[in-house]
Amino acid sequence: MALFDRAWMETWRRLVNADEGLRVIGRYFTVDLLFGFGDTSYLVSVKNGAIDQVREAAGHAPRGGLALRGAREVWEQFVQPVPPPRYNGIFPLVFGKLLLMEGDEIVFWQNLRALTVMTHLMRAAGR
Amino acid sequence: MVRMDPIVGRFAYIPYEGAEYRVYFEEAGQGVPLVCLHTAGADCREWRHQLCDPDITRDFRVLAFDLPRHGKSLPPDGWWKEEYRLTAKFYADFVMAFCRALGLEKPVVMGSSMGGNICLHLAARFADELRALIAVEGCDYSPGGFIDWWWHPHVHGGEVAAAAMLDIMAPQSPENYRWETCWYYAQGGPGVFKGDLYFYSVDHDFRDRCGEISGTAPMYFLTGEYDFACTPDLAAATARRVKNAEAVTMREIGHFPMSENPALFKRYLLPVLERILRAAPPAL
Repeated sequence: MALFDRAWMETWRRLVNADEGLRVIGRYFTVDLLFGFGDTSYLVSVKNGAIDQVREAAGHAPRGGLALRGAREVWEQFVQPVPPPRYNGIFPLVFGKLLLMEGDEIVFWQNLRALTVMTHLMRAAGR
Repeated sequence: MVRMDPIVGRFAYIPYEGAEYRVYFEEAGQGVPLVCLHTAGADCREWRHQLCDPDITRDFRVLAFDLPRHGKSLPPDGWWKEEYRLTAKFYADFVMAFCRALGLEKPVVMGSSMGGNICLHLAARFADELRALIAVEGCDYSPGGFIDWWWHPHVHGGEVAAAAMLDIMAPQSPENYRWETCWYYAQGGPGVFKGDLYFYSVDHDFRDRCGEISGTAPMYFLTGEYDFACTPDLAAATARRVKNAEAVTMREIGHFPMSENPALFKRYLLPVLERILRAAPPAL
């Protein structure tokens, strides 16, 4: 397994789906998200706060969903067990323009808590 | 015997421009008045640890108040007919109205985030009435925060503010204190966080005004390395433009030092309070 490969995404999916808190705060979080780790992108289908499906994908943000893309180096900093300043969360990354947000922006603001908790779990997915 | 905090909470009626504001404040300790200002969209509970710390309250009468519309302080009459936008003038005037109404003599003002930014306005306008200022996470310009999503009918304002604040705290800070800080944010009134950020990101632009500060009251800038809204570099650059000021970077702390990691914050705060007590001017 290497960072951001299929096996790593599967480990992250299992962590997200085992998180009890996300079952509660993500009850209405159903959306397609595109994560771009440098040249590697995945379409992540979220249903009720759990990850239903992960597919390799490219292109535009999914209709009605959101794309979060950044340089691989940015994500590598973010997923460190103790990330450095400016890299410690999705909100600072987007606010600081280290991640590019495309698509239906309201998805981000409506679900920021679930999205924050979900992406924090990337740090436990291994390196 | 039940365990209790030494904090006493009261309501005071603060006169300001012909109106009277019912303001909630908490206090503990005795000595030099130390007035603590909360961050945007939050309330005076952020200072609960400092209010309970005998190493601080031994020499300082610590007071923390809820700005109108925050915590238990009521909004002014007619709030339902207008969009709230905090201005630098109201904010600075109101801090001084509070100090005068309570008869505080030469208080120290310590504010965080927007409370840190207002310290610059207080230093420029009211230095003769103040003993010193401590700007925690404060700098001369902090744009970008005044956005509609903080107050939007399709977004839960409390949840989104809380979630956004979680990751401007340091990952090393205790998890329960980080989430407690988020809880304060989740309880803000509708439109209050956004209205505060009007001051923080729009009405507060002090870049060409630092020269207005006489330096009569020393200023200390304490900034956490994980604060990306007011970075240590921004605070240090501001301090260099202000007479009689200095800046300290706090390692492994974010935007909410007093509430996210009070034990670590204390290590940076106590030396500053000692210097204020000894009235030693900051090194230039």
